[in-house]
Amino acid sequence: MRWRRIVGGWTIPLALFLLPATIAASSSSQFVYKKQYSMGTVYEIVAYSPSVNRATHAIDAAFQAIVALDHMMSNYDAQSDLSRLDREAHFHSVRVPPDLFRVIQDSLVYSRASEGKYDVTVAPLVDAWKSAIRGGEPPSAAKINELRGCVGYRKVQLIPADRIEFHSPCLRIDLGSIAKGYAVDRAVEILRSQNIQSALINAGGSTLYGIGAPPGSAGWSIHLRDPSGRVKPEVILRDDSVSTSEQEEESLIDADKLGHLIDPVTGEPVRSDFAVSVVAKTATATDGLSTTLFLMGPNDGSQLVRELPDVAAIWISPMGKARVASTGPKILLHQSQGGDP
Amino acid sequence: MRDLRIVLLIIASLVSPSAGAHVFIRWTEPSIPPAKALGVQNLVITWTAPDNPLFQAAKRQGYRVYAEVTPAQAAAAARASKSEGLAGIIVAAPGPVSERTGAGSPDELIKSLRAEFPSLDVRLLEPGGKQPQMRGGIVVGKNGVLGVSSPTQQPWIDSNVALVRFANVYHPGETPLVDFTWNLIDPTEQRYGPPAVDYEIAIAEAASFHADLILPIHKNLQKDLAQRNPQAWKTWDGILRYIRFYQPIAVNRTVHLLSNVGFTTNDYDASYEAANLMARHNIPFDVMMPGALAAKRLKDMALVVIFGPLDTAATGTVKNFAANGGTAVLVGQPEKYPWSSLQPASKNEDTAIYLTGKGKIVEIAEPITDPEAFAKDVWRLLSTHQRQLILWNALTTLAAAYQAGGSSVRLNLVNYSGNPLRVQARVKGAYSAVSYETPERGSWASLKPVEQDGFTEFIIPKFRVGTLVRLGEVGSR
Repeated sequence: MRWRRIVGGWTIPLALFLLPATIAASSSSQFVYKKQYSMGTVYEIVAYSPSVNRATHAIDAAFQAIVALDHMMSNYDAQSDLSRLDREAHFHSVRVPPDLFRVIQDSLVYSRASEGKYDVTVAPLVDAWKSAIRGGEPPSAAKINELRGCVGYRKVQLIPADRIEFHSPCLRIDLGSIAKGYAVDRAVEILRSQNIQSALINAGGSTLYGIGAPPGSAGWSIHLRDPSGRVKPEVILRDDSVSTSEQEEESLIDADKLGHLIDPVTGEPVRSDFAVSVVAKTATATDGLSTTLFLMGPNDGSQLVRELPDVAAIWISPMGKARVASTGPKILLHQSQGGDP
Repeated sequence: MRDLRIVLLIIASLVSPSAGAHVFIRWTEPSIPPAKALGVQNLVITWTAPDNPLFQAAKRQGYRVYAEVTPAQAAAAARASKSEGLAGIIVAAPGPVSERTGAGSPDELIKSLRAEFPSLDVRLLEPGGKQPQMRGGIVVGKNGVLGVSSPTQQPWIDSNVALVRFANVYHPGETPLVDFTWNLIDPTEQRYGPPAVDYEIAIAEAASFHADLILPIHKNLQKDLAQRNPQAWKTWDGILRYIRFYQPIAVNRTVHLLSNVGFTTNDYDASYEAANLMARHNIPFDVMMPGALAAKRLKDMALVVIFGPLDTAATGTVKNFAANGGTAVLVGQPEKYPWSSLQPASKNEDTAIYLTGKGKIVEIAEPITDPEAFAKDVWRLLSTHQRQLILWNALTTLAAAYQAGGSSVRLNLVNYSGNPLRVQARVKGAYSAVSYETPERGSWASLKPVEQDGFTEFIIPKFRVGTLVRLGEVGSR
């Protein structure tokens, strides 16, 4: 039995750390902190500004945009634009809002780069495995085969500027692996447009973006997920983003508990002990890439990273083996043990 | 004479004059607005010494005044209660709830004070309460702002639900009284106080899970209310709407929790987080004292979680419970039991599962270090038909279902995010009439129930913080 949580509520007695007056005193800037529930997780923004009102209004505007994107991209809400697309775009082009067009366009970049390992059209397979992942019966091999026929990013046709058509009778899109990153990028745009030059945006711990740097620092210090507790990786974000992917928490009683990420190529849940974190210039990129690199694993994933500009990734195993690939950003290892996995 | 005294003591210990009070307001500032204006009756003021002018000031403004005291101050405060005009005292004792029974304990102190001062309302304050809230992962510390990356986290919920469930069993007959201090990150909120929604969540939580609450009013809000600041009174009106909305369920707590999961422990500290996470995942559990692990208590249960070793009688009870189809989860028990000689149906480093009769016994050898995984395992161990309450699109919502009169059920939901949600719910039982109310709506509205396989499903279209749902037959109330 391992201690797995880093950010879990019982491991960080937040109140013990709260001395914000110390920070505020170090600069004429004050910080504003707010949180908002959206897309099934907590979005948090810390913004420094000489004007509390300005920061407050900017954060509120950013949250409004995030909530609007949730309504647009939710596949739980039958009224969302994504749900409508999933219902109506089979062999028929559907007009979509620019944000939805753009995020699907971006997702296809990672599908092509990973030759289909990452694929937002995996929704039919995800739904089929949902019950099994919660302890029910897995779908039959025949069912998996049938559903694999539904899946495939090449069956999604983008018709600029704002129409999309599916060349499959049963294809559906799930943006769970990239929408949060896209929402963070929109929040960044809004904060910058309101002259916020120092802010940290956190989408449920899995995607963070640092605008500028906090007063007196070179950047925003982010401790990365480390299932071993030995590697202690850290990045300093300054106008860039980091995302992390890992298999859902283990079961104490079921060693064979299925992972929640489905490999679109095999049609089955991926089992991997690695946690992977990715640093890049946008949150859309890190969110999409973290899932992509988790599915690809450290060997193939490292090769992909080497083909991308300004990207760094780290894979860490529960035994403390770490592998880093980078074409620019630095990932600091405070206590490196073990070699390549 | 001694017998009469014992009877009086028992009656005094069972009857609490403030039953149904629900919300007590903690006041610290020298100016106090009139009770009529504030719309609440019970004010709590910390006991510093006799002749505290604040007691008399509050009394003059029309409040029932409670002094919050330490155990060492309790007797003096009770003796001075008449001259100070106190309606009651609230004893705040340190230490975990499990250590507050027995000779010399705060429980004993409460009983003796109630016997000696029968007209004085004497309440026990549960330690360990925290501000109920949805929390994020950003840490603001003395070294700056720290982010921590992780796979996507479900929102972390700080709640007092497990605390209340434990208090119910450690102090039977008492309505648990909880409090908290504000845990605010934003400097402006630290300076000027939390938004109204934070107060509303605390009020909704306490009432929904059947506790009384001491609501700490931020000092700036106190000052502004006393100075008749219109913005402060607007904030207060929102808070008061929640206090009034929940008052009726505070005075009618005869209903009992619908639960088919038992939880018993001989180690409060070691098991608390497991219970906390079970509450967070809406597993409705009944805490039982270790000695109460009897066949009668387990009769209607599907699963029981047991921390601590079993004696011979309890071993037999657990064995029979599993033989009859129940699931027993034993945590951190190195002892050998009769089923230990069986071939386990599955076994890994930490866990062995024994199939015995129609049910199973799960032995987890080590203490629980990942309560989140443990709670999710407990959920998975319940079959679909054993899950009495399922919520969808409700990651920030905690709920409890209570058996009300006849066959009707009351379902209380609290949304800790404060952001409006549309929640789908499934409750065990067939109900043809379902309706809901929120403080914002102010009236009951019918929902469309769908009955299927002995369950009733419905969608609550929108609620922000708290909602009450009632399920019954058409024509019932």
